[in-house]
Amino acid sequence: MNTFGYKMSAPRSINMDTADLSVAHRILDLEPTFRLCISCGGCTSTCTAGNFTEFNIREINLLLRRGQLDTLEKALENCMFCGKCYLACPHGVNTRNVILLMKEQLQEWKQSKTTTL
Amino acid sequence: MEQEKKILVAGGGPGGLETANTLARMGFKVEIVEKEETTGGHLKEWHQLFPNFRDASDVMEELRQRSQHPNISICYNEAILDVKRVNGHFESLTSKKRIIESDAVVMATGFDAFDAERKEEFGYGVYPNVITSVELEKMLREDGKVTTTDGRVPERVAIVHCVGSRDEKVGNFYCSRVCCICGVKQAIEIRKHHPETRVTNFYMDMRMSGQYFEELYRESQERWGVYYVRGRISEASGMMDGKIRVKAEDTLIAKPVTLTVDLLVLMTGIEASKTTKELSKKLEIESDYGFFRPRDRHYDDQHSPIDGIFLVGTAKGPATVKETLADARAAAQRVWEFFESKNV
Amino acid sequence: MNYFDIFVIPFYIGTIFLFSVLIIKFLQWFIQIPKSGKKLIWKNIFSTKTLKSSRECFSECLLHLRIFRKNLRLGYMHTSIAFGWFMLIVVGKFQSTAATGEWIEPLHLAIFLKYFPVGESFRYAYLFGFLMDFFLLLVLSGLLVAIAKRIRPKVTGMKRPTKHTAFDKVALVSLWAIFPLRLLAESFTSGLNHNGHFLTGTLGKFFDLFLPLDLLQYPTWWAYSLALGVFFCVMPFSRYMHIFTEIELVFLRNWGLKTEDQLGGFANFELHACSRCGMCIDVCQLSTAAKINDVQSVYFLRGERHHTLSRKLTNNCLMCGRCEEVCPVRIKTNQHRLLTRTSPFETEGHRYDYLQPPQAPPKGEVCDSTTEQEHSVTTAFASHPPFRGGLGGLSYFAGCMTHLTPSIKTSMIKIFEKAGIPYTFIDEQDGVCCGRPMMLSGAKEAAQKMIAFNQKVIEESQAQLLVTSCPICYKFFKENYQLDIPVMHHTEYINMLIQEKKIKLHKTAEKYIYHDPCELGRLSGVYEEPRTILKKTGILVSIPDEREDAFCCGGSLANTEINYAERGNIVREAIQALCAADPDYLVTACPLCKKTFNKENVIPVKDIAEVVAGRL
Repeated sequence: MNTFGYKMSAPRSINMDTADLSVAHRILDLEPTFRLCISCGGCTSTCTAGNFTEFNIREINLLLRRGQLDTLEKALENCMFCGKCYLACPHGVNTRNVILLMKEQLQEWKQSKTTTL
Repeated sequence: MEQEKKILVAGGGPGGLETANTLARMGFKVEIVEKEETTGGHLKEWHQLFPNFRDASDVMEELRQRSQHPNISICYNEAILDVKRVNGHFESLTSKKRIIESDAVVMATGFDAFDAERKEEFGYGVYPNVITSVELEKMLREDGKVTTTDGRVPERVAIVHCVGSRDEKVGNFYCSRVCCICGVKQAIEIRKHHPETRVTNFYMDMRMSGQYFEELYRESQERWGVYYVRGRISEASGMMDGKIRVKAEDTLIAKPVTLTVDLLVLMTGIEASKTTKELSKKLEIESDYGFFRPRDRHYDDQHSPIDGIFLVGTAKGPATVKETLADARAAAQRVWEFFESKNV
Repeated sequence: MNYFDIFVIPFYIGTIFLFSVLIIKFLQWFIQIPKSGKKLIWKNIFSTKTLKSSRECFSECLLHLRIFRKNLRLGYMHTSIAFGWFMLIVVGKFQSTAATGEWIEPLHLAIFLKYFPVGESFRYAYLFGFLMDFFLLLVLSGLLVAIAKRIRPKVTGMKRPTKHTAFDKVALVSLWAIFPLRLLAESFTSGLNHNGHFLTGTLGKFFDLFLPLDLLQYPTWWAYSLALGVFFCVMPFSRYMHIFTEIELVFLRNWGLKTEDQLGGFANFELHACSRCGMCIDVCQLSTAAKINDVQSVYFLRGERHHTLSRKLTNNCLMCGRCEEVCPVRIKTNQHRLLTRTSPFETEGHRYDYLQPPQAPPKGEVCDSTTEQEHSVTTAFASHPPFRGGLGGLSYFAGCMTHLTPSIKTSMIKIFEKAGIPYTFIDEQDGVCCGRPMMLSGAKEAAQKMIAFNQKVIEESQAQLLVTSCPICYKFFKENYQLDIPVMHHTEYINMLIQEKKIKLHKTAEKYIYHDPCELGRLSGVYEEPRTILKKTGILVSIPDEREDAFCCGGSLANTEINYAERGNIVREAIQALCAADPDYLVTACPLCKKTFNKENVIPVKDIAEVVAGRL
């Protein structure tokens, strides 16, 4: 089939119809305050690890919710778990538990992926 | 039209004055009790109003002129402490131990600006070059010159939005509604007076909900070159030379940013005033955050759950001057209807 | 075999079973104790510590003085049952020896003596009879309180008794059955034989009026023996395991053992010494303020013992230490929680490249140009700015949280400058976390990376003394870092400056309430210094819940489970109690406490450093 006109190149766009949101949903259920994030960036701004590394807790939240799970695990390894992000958060997101859950759930997700393959 | 009824208006800010003015023209006898030595409330702290840069003093003058009405008497340096309903009328106790009798009471007790010291990470009260929007407005009102504590014109200014609003960490979940546009207005004013000064606004969301607000936002970018960074400042620290270093994330490029400024301006939000909090609690007509609770947010927004106690303006929650004035006239209308229905 | 009847068999079965299990368990746990622990035991076993332990066993395991001090009625309950039962056994033994004239005799005789025809003519028979009745009465009175406590906890001054499992309830019922059955059995026999003392004798006479005692006597002795047998059999698996374990615990603890970096061994003794009395529930702010009633230490220890721990049980704890303070057995539950927390940070490779020193370690000044490095990892070392101030004196570490409360750090700088103390501000531009928050999540290895980093920074500052403003850092520096310099919290340091007359404070009429931060007070034992300082700047009002009993502000980093609303409830409860005396300022010594309290906007909150800086 010929395609004419404009088309978003597949690898650039996130297909939200097929994105894997299972991990995000599980975390949202286990830590409901996670839903409250408005992406203000206060957490990343105050984050010590974020000053030295690519670690960006706000961005990770979003990537997770868009089903972009592949790079998250590595980024999460930089977190020092100090809790400054919680003190900065204007919406009371329980950030430390979100991090714990993300680490746990991503691990499970990775395992389930390798077993199904 | 002559009325026998007497109305007590608690608070002589724009809301209280406009309610009194309208009531007086309807023929009611009105007594305004103002806790400060002049009327005008927070309006007198302001230089120019958004979105059209009308002089606040102009609006003030108009309000004061209209209140020179034979039906209006104003008591200064006096606050209402308690209101009691006795046999269908009200007896209000004032700070001068006076009891004022009236047939209805209008609560126009207004707001206090958020105490920025409570948001310690922004450094207000710790570093002298961290100021609030109220203090900036004072500079603009006095001679238009914006300076740091040592009298220099700042090379860089940062404006922080949502200080004390939308913040679980200070217990205020709500949006104060006026600070976004005020931040835009003040950024323009700084640029007007000091074209060399770079002004950067740090915002979470730009809420340009009022008429001509969005246009002013456009103008600030197009004509005045105001910078905007979408990210909340997490902390400010003082430098040896008196400058302030702020940290935020530029969320749109997902990177932490730091900026050193000469002056940091905090857009402090609206909180229920001390009197509003105390009276709403005492009369058991408080809603969230210590504001007054109207009996119906759509149809009876100016009447409190208590018959004969009316509510105006920011005593109910954040509002602009324009909204407050409209609300005041609506309140006067409700007062009139209240006594009409009684006569029938 | 004059003194034998078949009904004593259940008692024997129970006893033999009980002691076999006890010996096996205790041996197992003892073997688990690491070598260093065993060494400690051998070192201390023949010292006064053993004597001290015996005394403590008497005062705590039998008399329960600690409970008495906290709660009179609850204390009475525990004492009357424990001490009463103990005396029944001891006096019973002397009585049977007096009766038979033999020191060595069957075990059951002391327990069931009344059933057997020993006569009344032995020495001190009257006194023994009286004592036995008296102690039985004592136990029974305690039992009444226990039953009342189950029905209406308030009777014993408790808000919320422990919720027990079905198995524990069986054990409870068999225990409750023992003493009334003994009373009945002894009374029936006394009634038949026309003897007995003020309790059993009187009751016996009374029952004789309308009951066929000759028929009832034998089955009742059977029932008594059965109740004992059942109780002994379930005991080692129920909470009553504490009865014997407490004794071992007291000795081991006094010999210097504690739960350090592993469970098992000594930790097992602690674990089984919990009687589930529930005193930890009423002091837990998660219960009183946040209405979370299933995670308290008593439930956690039960979960740990029966291997039914959930994430909630291990993680939903403020680790404020209030329960440890009130625990009659003094179990160090915090350490158990820590060791049972499994952190995902621990199970996988954590990189923390940025905390590694670069290949060529920088000397003093900044290591320049990270861009030339092959991979673009910015190490925290490389980007570390030059220290402010001279090296080699006092190093000041503000702590992460203090950067969010800048008035604390500016106050400290003002104090240093006023006292003329040269200082090095080692985390002026973003330090690295001390590692305690990571440790509190259970990730020991990950925390180690932060410890290593900060140790290096402290070393490079050539510090002779380390001062920090954060109690969390303070505790960690002191206990988990290998620093060979003194570490002080700023309260201690300021107090020292005052003592050395380096600074002088002006006294005002301001009224303060001091809030003890958990990490500084209960967890580090610093109570006096802040109070000494505050008495020099104003009027310090004391309140009932202070020092060891101080509330947690609710900001604790140890808890990852509760949300902002639950934290809010905890803060409000604490602040209400603190402000009851209507002070001008609430003073604390922790940036996290300050931020947490400030949120409520009830009262102006100040750090002690701010108070001092304002009074120089």
